[in-house]
Order: sequence, then structure tokens, then C-alpha cells
Amino acid sequence: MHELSLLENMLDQLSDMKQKYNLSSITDVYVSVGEMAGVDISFLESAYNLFIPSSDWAHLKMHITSVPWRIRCMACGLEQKVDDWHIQCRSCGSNDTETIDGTDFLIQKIEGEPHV
Amino acid sequence: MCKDCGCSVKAEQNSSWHQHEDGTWHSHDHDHDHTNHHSVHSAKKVVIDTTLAVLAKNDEIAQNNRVWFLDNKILCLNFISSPGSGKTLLLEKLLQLLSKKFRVAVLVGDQATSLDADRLQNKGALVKQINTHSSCHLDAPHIQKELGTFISPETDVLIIENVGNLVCPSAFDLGEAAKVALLSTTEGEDKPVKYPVLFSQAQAIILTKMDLVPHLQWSLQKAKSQVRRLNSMAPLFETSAIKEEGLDSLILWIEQRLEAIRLL
Repeated sequence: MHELSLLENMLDQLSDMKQKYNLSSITDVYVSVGEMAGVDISFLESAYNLFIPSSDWAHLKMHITSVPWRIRCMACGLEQKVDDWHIQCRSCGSNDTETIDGTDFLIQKIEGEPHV
Repeated sequence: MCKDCGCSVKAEQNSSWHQHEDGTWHSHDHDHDHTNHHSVHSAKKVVIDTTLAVLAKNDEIAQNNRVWFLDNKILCLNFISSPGSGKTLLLEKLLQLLSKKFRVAVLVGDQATSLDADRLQNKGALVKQINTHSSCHLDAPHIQKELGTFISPETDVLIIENVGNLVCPSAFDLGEAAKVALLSTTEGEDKPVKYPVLFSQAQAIILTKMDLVPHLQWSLQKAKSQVRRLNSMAPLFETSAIKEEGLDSLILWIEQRLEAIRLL
């Protein structure tokens, strides 16, 4: 379970952003988790529940959006979601496809309160 | 209804996490039934769009590692598999053959002990153990520390034997030229679809312990089809380290990858 390590990386980024944007606190973080990012959302939630309440980030809320694995068919050009872990194009049957989305774990947005 | 997000979804018992119809998961530190929780929402909030990778710092170091490898014409391969898949025995045999032609270095990741590094000593390559302790994977800073010190610029091939784990190491870029996934016959044919992230990313896939096939209900055709569901490009090598079979084609692939880097 590397999700605790990912959470630590996220908090490290949030600390940087807090300084960069001169915020007194960050209240909400919106993250997107690609289906192929190697992140288990339930483990990420567990890591949050385990670590956050007793940390300096006790008031941070995390909002998670799951992003499906998407591919483009190099033969016919169709962009599509991958179903059932099979990269075959559902239109022309080609296996020559490239991943176009669903591999990233991103901080999309933060909400915070500025210093007064 | 939740006044924070407008949802009518009740949180699961004993958990503040819930999912909306649009697929978003989030938690509240208040109940959905709570009628007076506006104190947690300030009117002075600022919203900042970032689109920043959670692992941006690791990725930046990994990219620096990659540039260093390219500058020094070093082929870096990141070997990933489950524990017990035969990585170390394969490397014992591979190093003896590779080191006849190339200067080879190996970084071995394990949570504890130097048992694997000890096994790889005296096979013609420089070997160093990295203990990750509580961590289930190597990350880019682990590799960065070794550049120019343990890993000399004169190195031709660096092999990283990652911590035995099919999940976590896949999420961390180390700066390698290619991830190499190992799949042993004793694990069954369906590991690739159970652990799709690694097997879709891998630029080469090594089937190990092929000598055991006569004793197993294991189908090469089924294993190949499971790999090809996720990855149509990666070459598939059928090997038996103990019988030293199938290593020539793997070494040829390594030579070709090294040649490609030298031409850049």
C-alpha cells in the first residue's frame, strides 16, 4: 500500500502551494485519480482517514474524482473508454491503440483562505 | 441534503466518504443530516486551479535521472514483479552473460536485508542493495543518490531490481528507459489483467520458470492472450533461468535498446 506515501507527497505539494499563494489554510483539495495511475481509491481514503485527523491538516477535505482509462485507436482514430481491461478497438477490432487518459494522479484544484 | 455539495447521498455508516452520481468521492467532517454546518464554509475562500501531479517532485527527479542516463549513454531498466517470481535467479544468469560484453551495474531494492544483492555478487556486475524499510517501492530520489557515485558514467547497463510488488513500483517513475515486467508460470496466466497498470506500461515482459510448465496446468497461449489484452507492443520472452534457456533473445533486446540510446 503506497497510498500513504502518495498522501504524504500530496501534503508536501499543498504546503508548497500554501506558501506560494499566501494562504492561511487550505480547506479543500480536489484530486483526480486515473484508473491506470496505480492508485487504489479505497486505500487512499483509508490513508486519509488514518493520517489526516491527527495531523496539521485535520480540517482538510479531500474530494476524489475517478478518471477512466481511455485510448485512441491508431487504425480508425476512435477515442474510447477501455472496458474489461481490453485495449482492442470496439469499432474496428485493432489492438494498435494508444493511451490518452487515465494514467495520472493529479491535484486539480484547491480551496483555501487567504491571510488577512 | 448536504448544503456543502448539494448531494442527497447519505454517508456510509461510520464513514464520511460518499460518492456522487458524477463519480466524485469526498468526505465531510460533518453529517449530511446536520442542519447547521455553515460555519465550516467561509465566504472568503479562494479557489486555485492547479492541475499538478501529486508525484510532481518525484517525476522531476526521475526526469533529471533520465537525462543523466541519456547524457552518459546508459540503458536503465526497471525490473518489476511479484515476490518469488524469479527476478534474482534470472539476474544471476543474465549478469554473467551481459557482463562479458558490457559494464553492468545493479541496484537491488528490498525492504530489508542484503540477501538478493549478496546472491548477485561476483557475477561480473557492480551490485548495491537499497533497503526501503517501510516503503513498498523504490522512488526517483533513491536512484538519484547513486548517480555519479555508485553508478559510474562509464556504465553501459543499469538494472534496477525493484521491491517485489506488482502494484506500488508501477506508480513511481525512476527515470528508467523501460519498465520490464516478470511473470512466473507458477503465478498462473491471469496476473496481467489482475495487475493491469504494470503490464500495460511494461516495454518488455519476461515469462520466467518456463521449465516448470510440464508440472503445472498452465497455458502459454492463455498467458500470452492475457498480456495482449493490455499490451500489444511489448516483446514477450520465454525464459528458464535454471536451465539458462531463452536468455539470448532477452540479451539481444537489451543490446538493441542500448544501441538505440547510443545513437541518440
